[in-house]
Amino acid sequence: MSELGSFKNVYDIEGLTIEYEVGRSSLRAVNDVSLGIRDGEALGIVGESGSGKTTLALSLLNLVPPPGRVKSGKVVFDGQIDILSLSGEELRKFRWKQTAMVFQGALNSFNPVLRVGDQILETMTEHGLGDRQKGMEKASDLLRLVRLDPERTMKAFPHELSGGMKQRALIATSLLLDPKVLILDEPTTALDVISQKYILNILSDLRRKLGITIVLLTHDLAICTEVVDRIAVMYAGRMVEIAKTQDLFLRPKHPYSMGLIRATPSVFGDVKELKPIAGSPPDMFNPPQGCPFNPRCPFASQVCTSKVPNLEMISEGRLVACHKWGDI
Amino acid sequence: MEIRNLTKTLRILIENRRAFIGLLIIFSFVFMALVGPLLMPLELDPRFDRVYAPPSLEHPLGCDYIGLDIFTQIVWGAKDVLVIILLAGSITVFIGASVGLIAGYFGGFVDLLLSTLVDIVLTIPGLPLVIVLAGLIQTRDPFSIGLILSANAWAWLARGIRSQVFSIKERDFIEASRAMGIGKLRIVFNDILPILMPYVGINFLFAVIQSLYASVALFFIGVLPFSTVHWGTMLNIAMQVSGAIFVPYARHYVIAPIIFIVLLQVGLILFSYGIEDIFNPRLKT
Amino acid sequence: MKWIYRRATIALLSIFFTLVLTFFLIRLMPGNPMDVYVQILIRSGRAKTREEAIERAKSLMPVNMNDPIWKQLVDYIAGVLRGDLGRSISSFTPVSEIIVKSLPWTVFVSSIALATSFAVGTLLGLILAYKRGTAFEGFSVSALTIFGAIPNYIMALILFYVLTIVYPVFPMRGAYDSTIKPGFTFEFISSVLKHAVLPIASYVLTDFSGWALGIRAMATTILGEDYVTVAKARGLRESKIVRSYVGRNSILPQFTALVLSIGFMFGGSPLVETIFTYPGIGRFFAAGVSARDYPLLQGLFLMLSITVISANLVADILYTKIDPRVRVSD
Repeated sequence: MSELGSFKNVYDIEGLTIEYEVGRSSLRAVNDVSLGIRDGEALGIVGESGSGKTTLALSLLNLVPPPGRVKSGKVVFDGQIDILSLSGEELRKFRWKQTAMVFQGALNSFNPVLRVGDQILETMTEHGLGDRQKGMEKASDLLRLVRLDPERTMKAFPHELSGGMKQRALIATSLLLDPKVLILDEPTTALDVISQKYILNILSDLRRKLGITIVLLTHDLAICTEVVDRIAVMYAGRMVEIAKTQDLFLRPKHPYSMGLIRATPSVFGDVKELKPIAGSPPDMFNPPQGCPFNPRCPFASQVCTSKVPNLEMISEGRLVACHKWGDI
Repeated sequence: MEIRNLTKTLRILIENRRAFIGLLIIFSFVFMALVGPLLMPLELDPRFDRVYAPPSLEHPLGCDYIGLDIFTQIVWGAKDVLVIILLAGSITVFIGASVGLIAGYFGGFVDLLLSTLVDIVLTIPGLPLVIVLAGLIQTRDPFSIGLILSANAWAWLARGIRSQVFSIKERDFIEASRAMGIGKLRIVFNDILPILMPYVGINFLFAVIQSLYASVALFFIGVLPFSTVHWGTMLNIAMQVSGAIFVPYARHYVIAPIIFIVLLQVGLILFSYGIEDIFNPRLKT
Repeated sequence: MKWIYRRATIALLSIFFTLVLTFFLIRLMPGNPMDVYVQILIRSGRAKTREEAIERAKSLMPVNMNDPIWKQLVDYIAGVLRGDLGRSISSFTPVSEIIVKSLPWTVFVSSIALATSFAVGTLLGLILAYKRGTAFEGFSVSALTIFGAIPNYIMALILFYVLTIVYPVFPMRGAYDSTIKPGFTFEFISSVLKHAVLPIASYVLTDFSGWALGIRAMATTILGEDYVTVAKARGLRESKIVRSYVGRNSILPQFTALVLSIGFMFGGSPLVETIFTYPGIGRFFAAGVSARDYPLLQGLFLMLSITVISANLVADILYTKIDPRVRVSD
């Protein structure tokens, strides 16, 4: 059940299920997720921590760490390359060159014993781009693009840079090989508000200048208003709503999306009353029967506790997984 | 109350496999040391008809160079071995903890003095120091031997305790005790020390392990006359006095002490790994 | 920088302390050391008359025993600075000469042993970290624990017994076959190597497990670190990741331990060297203890301490050069 548009998809995810095996029990981090990522768009994947968005993103690079395993489904890049069945060497060449990822919490993303510049350059040499001179130039350009001083940054060791600087350096590194897709996992968490705005501006710039596809993972809806065209909402490992940013904010169709929006302070407009979502996140080892959101859902009824709702297209470019969307 | 705590502690120990096996081994040795001598009298008269008798039902480990049963000697030797390492471990921990606590809590000049002393002692090589001291202070008293064995070891604990005390002494409840006017020494021993007990406990184990290594070395090298049934002394006799090591059919005389020494060491080390696992919840191995 | 001065001062203080300690150690002996020497000299037949014995005893000690003690201490220190450490009672040769003759052998064996145990241990530790959870790992860890529990002198005994007596594969004693003339000949060198194998093996077989388990613990943690996952995402080759990312970061904490071991290496193990009758510092040390050869003991102990202290100092300084995170201000 993939979501087709009239544009080409740079990623097609079909029926992906990923489980983590811990001891004798297992946890379904990603549960039957299907999603198409369009070439050139900025997609936001929104969900609380534990919703499965990071695991989903890792699967785009086939980087899900053990004890996690892909149980079923496909991840196809550019309509041709089956990511999950690439060989070791092919996978290595694919990573970073076609798709790059900026991990959450850049504080520890660099090797502490090597200079940042060396690590940037080695990324290029490991992919066969041996010209050091050209490499340095490119790296310097990218560092300037993210508003860092190339000289100072390249010479520094990771611990000599601030969190925000490391985050930006990481973004620059991710662009080294001109990837088609850039995934950013919570790029603004743990940063102060000013740095957050900075990074979001940079991302907008990148989109404009490079035409890159951006996948932004976050729990913070507010960020999505700045950069993102489309939002995909995840809950308990499932995709529950996909819609254009405007549509989602103005007319959310899934109770969880509604809850999120109501709980998010908005910089513009009135300071409405903030309403947090009732209840607590589900126990992923023993998820609720039927729709995973039903214990916290104000619209839940009999069918919600027994049948899992499928992700269905309700209008052009809008999908919801809810039995009750029509009543909302 | 006490019994419930005890069963809980036992359960934790049993669940950790290494601690359990280690403890089992240690208890076997303690049992051997306590009960063995009661069951097997120690003969000291040579029996030249049984020189280097091979292992048999009557003599499970065979006989030595003057015909005495080896297993009996091992059993009697267990007590000597255990007494020394327990004494040495206790002394090490006592000195080390005291110095560390005082240096850490009092700070200032006292700390400077003690820390410098600790640093100096730490750099003097341990085993040679112990050997030299033993050679000079010829003694048969287990306590003095324990003292010699701890000559260098206490410094490691002192350092560790000192740094821990630094962080603990800033805590609120210590502040409260100070405000109540409780004397410094009482604060150190009543408030701070209990928190550090697990750390001290683990280091006690380490000290015991190190003492086993050093004490057997001392007796093997023959620098201290202590007891003829200590396993280290048995090795000394086997190697140098009787030349048993060169006699092919006397191999059991050499092998027996080695096996027991290694076994005890393995038991102690396993137990220490297990206890470490319990107190430092790391990645499960 | 200030911190280096503090370390250097401690080192110097330690050396001084050891000097004084060794000086007073000899006075721990019951009785007057002088008398003891005289006794030993007479008993061993090196001196025929008491006067001759006293004369000889005097020349053994760089210090006149009848001077006030503070003067003796000063003379002693002066002597040490001159390189005069007295003479051995047993052989009557100058202690400094004995040190010069025996130190190279100990350093030879110990350095090869240390390098080998570190290299093998590190490799094994890394392999085990990667193979976490497999049966191989479980078995290896248990085996390593047992190896580590065996004292090195016991291992020496076992090796000595099995490989020189039961199966005479290796020579029993000495640093080389005494019938061969020392020189850069293949004969001599291979004899030296053959004689060194068992002592080295005694150290390596008991030491390598410590390194292996240490590296394994560290590497296991490092493998879970973000920058390793990011390195994989960056498409770096596995070999590069193992070397520069996991390997380097795992070895770092072991580095201080390594350099410290170099310090202790200079002393060798008295027991191991005795078992193999290997003419290193340790052997003379052990012999000196048995023979109550105090000048020899003093000199060896002093030299041993100085090297260990210096090595520790070097270790601290070197470590800051290796770990960029430690290169901070005072």
